[in-house]
Amino acid sequence: MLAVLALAVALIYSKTDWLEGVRQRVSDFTLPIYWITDIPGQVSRWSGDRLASKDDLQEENKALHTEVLVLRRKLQQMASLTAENTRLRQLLNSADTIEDRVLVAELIGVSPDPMKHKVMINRGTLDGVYVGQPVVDAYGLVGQVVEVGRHTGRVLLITDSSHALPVQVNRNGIRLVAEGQGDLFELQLRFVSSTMDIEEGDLLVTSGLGQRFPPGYPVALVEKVTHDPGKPFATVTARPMAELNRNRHVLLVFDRHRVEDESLTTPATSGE
Amino acid sequence: MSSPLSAFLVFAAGVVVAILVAVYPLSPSVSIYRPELLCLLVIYWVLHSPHQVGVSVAWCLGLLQDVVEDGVWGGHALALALVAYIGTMSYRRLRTYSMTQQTFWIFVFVGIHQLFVNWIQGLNGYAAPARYMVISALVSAICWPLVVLLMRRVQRRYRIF
Repeated sequence: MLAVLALAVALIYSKTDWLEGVRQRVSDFTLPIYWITDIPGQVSRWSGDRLASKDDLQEENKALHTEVLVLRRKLQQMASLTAENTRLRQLLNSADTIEDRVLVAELIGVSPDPMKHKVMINRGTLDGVYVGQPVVDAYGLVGQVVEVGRHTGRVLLITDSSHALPVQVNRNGIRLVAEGQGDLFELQLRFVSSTMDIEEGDLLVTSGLGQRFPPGYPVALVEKVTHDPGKPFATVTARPMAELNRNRHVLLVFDRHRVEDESLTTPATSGE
Repeated sequence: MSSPLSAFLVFAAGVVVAILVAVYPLSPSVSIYRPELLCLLVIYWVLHSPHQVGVSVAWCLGLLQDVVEDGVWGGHALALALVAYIGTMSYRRLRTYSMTQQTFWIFVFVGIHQLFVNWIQGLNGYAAPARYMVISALVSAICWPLVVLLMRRVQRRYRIF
């Protein structure tokens, strides 16, 4: 009797969306549990901050200074390139690209199931987070928001076995679909014909075709291209750029189209 | 049961700890070795007091774990209810077994549990390979003597019999 009930619940949950509303509300109630499990991590980070030796801090400071210098140099070129890009776009009569607004979020939990690549972040509808919002880190695309509660959101990583996204080879603009494999360090490209110009080391960026991710964010580096004469398509694996297994902070990108639609309803809480 | 309240408190505390263990953030490679503590606790309580903890309590606890873990709702509920059912059918025999024999049976129990959880998770497209289930059942079985010793000590401390 209870077994039948459990089966019914499981079927309703996975095949219909009747339980969506309940799920959203329940995710706020489960939040304290994730807070508690996050405490050991918080403590170790806090002590790591407080107990770092002076030498280490000086070392880190020096490294950061160097990094800032390198980035500043790149930024100098960036200004002129942006201006040039804008002029060219005006010549082509195409729309100006606007810089995306972002919001920093912190990871507070990961999915307990090793097969499921989902993480929990500490931002929810109160911060203007919406379902489908792209998430990036300092190196590349991380995933997209699939559930939001009031204070939390759940992010599906691009390597989850149920996730696929449209990408583009940065070198020549070939459009492809990158699928997650349930492995944190691997994406697979679908339907790559054997004659296609793709090499190891090619950078894959988001193409913006799915209307979900803004174009131009780095996704992965092509790691291996295997041509098997017996198969209609080549097997291409790529390694995600984002540090999916160790990042602590992620950036929520407010897509400009969505922001224009919702700027009146959502509170402006983001920075640059 | 000498004092129902303290018994209930111990039971609830055990459930909370088991849920925390179930969602404690671990990297995927380590997460395979996570013991199914809630399943062990349910088996323990079914063997210890089959009239208080039965199939329906196990079902509710399973649903709680599903909700917290954000899996497919009903997966752990079904698996734990089945394990509790087998437990209530066979607790007289299991109680007479030695710890080694019990541990072997727990391996089978958790194996069944994992099988059903994975079957339900498979509805959403997240079926784990079979070796993950075996590893999880093995780790849980190894944890069984520890759970029993700990629970006995706790029970003696709070005089729950």
